[in-house]
Amino acid sequence: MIPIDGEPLGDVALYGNDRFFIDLRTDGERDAAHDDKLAALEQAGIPWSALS
Amino acid sequence: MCWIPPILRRSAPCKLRSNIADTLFIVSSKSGGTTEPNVMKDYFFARVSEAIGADKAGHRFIAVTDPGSSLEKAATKQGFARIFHGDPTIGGRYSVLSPFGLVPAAAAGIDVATLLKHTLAMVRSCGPDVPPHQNPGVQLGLAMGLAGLEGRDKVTILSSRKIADFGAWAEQLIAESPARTARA
Repeated sequence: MIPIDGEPLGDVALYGNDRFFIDLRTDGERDAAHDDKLAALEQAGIPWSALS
Repeated sequence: MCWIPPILRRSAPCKLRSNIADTLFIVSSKSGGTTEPNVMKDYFFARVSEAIGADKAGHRFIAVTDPGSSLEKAATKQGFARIFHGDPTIGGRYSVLSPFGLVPAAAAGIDVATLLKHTLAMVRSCGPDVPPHQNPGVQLGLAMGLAGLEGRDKVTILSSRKIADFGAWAEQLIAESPARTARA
């Protein structure tokens, strides 16, 4: 797997079926717009893992 | 104290924004045989010698290196203020949580004790005695492995604002470690 860092999370339509996402955040950090994009990924069947 | 951005650290001596006479230099090299840090050491040692005298210049330098390395010998000879030993069994890319990363962190005023406390919590959570369904390391590995089997060959790392730089390290660990063994 090729890791990609520093790329802003974009609209779900930008991604093909070759992506996996890891979402890193500290406890208590909330970003509603970011979470909406992650939810959209999930609805589109694109897998992601969260680590906090 | 001067924080030299990593990109400059690797390439050529940068223009210091701080006063050379008030700057602490940390020379980190496991073997001591790598050209770049040696070139930087020699360059800045000469600059500090000009500023405060060759006999005192060593006081402004700290070495982090594996025991018995050529850097240790040079640092002893040049009268470095301190020499910290790394653990030779820890590979370079993981050495940030050994003296190679922790000495600069402590010098920069980072709360190293709290950092290590959080690190140890994660080390224990990912230990071999933690069942797979409770083990975040196993869970992440499985998720990545299954995604890979589905043909997902790119992993995008998203880091929140407070840990924005963490992704660069994670990127290097992923690029250098599992990929190498998986293809072997």
